[in-house]
Amino acid sequence: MIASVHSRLVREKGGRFFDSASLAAVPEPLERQASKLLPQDWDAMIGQARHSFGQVLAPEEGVIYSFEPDAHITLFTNTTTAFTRVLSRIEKAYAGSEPTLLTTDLEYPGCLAAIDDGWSGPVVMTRVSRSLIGTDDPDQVLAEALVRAHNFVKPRVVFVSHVVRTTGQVLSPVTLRNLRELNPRVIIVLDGSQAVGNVVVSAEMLEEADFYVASGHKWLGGSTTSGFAWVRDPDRWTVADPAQAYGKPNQLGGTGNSTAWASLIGSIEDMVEEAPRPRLEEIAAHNRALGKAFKDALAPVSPQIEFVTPLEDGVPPSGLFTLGLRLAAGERVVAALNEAEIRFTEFDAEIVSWRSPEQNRFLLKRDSGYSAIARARTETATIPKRARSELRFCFHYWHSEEDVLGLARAIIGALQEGAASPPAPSR
Amino acid sequence: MGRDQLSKTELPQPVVLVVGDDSSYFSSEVWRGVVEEAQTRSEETTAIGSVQLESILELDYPEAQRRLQEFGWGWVRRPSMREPIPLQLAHRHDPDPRWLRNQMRRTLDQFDVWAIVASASAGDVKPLREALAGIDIPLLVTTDSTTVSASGQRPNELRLMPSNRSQASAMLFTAIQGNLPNPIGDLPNLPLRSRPQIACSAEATPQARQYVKDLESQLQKEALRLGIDIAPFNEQRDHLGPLIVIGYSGHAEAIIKERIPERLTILSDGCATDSVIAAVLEEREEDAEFWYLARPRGQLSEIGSLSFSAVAEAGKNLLTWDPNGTDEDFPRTSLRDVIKEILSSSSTLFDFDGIENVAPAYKVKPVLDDLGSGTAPERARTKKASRGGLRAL
Repeated sequence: MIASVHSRLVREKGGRFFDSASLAAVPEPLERQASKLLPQDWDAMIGQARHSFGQVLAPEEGVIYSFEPDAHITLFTNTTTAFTRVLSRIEKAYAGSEPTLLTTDLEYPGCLAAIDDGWSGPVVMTRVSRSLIGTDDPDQVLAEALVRAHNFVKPRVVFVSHVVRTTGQVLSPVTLRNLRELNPRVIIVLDGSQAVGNVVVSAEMLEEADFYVASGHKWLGGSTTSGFAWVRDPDRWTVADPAQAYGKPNQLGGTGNSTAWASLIGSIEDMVEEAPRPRLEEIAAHNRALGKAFKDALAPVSPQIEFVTPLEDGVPPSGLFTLGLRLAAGERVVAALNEAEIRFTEFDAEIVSWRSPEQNRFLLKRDSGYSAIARARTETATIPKRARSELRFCFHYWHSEEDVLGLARAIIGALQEGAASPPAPSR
Repeated sequence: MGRDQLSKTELPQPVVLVVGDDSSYFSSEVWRGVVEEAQTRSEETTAIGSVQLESILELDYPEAQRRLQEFGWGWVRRPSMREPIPLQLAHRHDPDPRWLRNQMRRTLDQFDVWAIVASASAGDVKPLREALAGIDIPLLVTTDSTTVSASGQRPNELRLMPSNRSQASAMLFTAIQGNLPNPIGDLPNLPLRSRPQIACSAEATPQARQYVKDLESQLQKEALRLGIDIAPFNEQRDHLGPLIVIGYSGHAEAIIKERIPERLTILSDGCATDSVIAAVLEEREEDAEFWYLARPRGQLSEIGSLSFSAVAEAGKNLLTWDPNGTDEDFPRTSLRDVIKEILSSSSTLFDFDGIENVAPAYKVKPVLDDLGSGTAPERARTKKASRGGLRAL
């Protein structure tokens, strides 16, 4: 019943929804339906949600099912809340030793703020973004930057995205293995927000991570307030939080939103059906294929576009696709898409948009957490207005090729219309 | 670094980095111990000296990678067990902090540095600490005995050299004992008039500032505790009470050459070099037996050797650690702590309180003591003739 409500939502909104987060507000029928579950079915629903998350994390390879799912997955209101909890547990374990945390300037600003707030030791931020754009091999640049920074710093903790939110690049388990080889005691925290439901989260990947934080409201198509933290070794690390975590099964009384969980369960049921692993592989391939179709469809206007997302034979690494446009052209496209009620993400002052002659340079900040991040923010805030726009589109499992071609047509129309009219004054 | 290297898990060579003043006797002794230990552990190990390293650091990253490959120090596929290579980064005294930071960054970028052994004088370790801010690699301080305040300590540091407090105590004890006709009882209970008048000569050069300031301060504190006065040497130049000399070899040699009366003279460990011992034999032949040296119990080469061995063993422990094993302290135990444990259990030279080595590890001995049998003047004469081969420490 829940699944069918979600399916209807997707059918209604899917063709115009190219954002990565929160398909839509939870519709009234679903909310009513979920409210009927309370309170007696709450425990069952939480258990079902945990199980559902388990289904999208390497289900057939035993990573989840060979253990007690409850022990490995704790539910939070969102990714940042989950990450904050993980950070606080690591911080406590290392109390007094001022451990160094390594991260990159590609991470979600909310998580960087969490580091700023909660990490007392030094923070090293590798400025990978400066090297990514304009290189022939961004995957290599990303992997190399991480390995070199890690070798340089030997941090106790690494926080990095599984799928880069700005470029859509997918981190390789080989890179993580290299980090661990260089520093076997490193604690690796992966941000899977753009990965779960977009690409396959393999057992190989999870074996290299100590924590995997993500949420259900992006590529799983669930509602907001559905984050989670997966812990590889629950005997060593406990992240359950009586205040923030959902979890009556664990005797915790967090402020859970039952509607959100009902939505999430429904969306995962829609998504993985009965054979999770083959289905997830199918979805990942489908998402990439839509990216290729999108790129091919943009051929008439491709001289006006820079493909921020690295492409191999025209195929993006995931369902996430970012375009760079000259500022005036970008504004026309944004206006046209807004007019058509098409949702997408416009990066505003994202660090990834920095362009620098220092290509492929290895840059580090090696100050304490506060000053490093504060300075990064200051630099972001004072960076001159960009000379271009960056627009991100997310191609989900519910999209069809026709949806994507419709999007491409809207972009082409806006660009061709601009080409025929005098250029707008730059601001 | 090519794609193949990443996919094949090829990574930089593991090294133990020794950083110090290349003109310093102390630094070269530590390096000697490190290299000897590495070769004892693996005959195939070839140390990378400072000249070779410098030639690599001058190159840009891809060129440096190629050069390392040519030398046989390129990125390698990692076996689970391996030995680190000794690597030496030399700097002059009082290095420019920016230059040192740049050299450190380039070195850390090219090699997998398991630990850094600091073998510089007290003032030169500070810029090294600053260059390592935020870098979580253990720093083993082998030649600097200055007291570091809690706020100035690196979290991942280990101080192998016993502190100046221990040295001050040992020097003062010898001064008092040597001054009394019949050493007796508990010093603080002596009548004041029996207490010796001790003079102190402290080096005033910028190079020695930090070391001298710290040791002098520790000496004064200890003297105050015992109720003993310490006067500046200039005010007591012609007295016969014990003289404590704080500084490095140049300062000691200047004192040795002075025509001061015969008196018990104790040199701090900064003066413990071949040239100082030779100067005592040459310039003070008649009263050489009154000259004493404060030294850590372990020789610097031995401390270098033990440092390397502990890092190599700790690294192996780390690499053979079973992530699914029962070590509940993991990952809270840092590499520094593993090194500390190995050092403490392998040698009586080490007993750590936090990051400080508090083992009673200083001794004050006559300069002539290491020079063979016979009376002091005889030993002095014998050794004077062969001082070219001296290895006093």
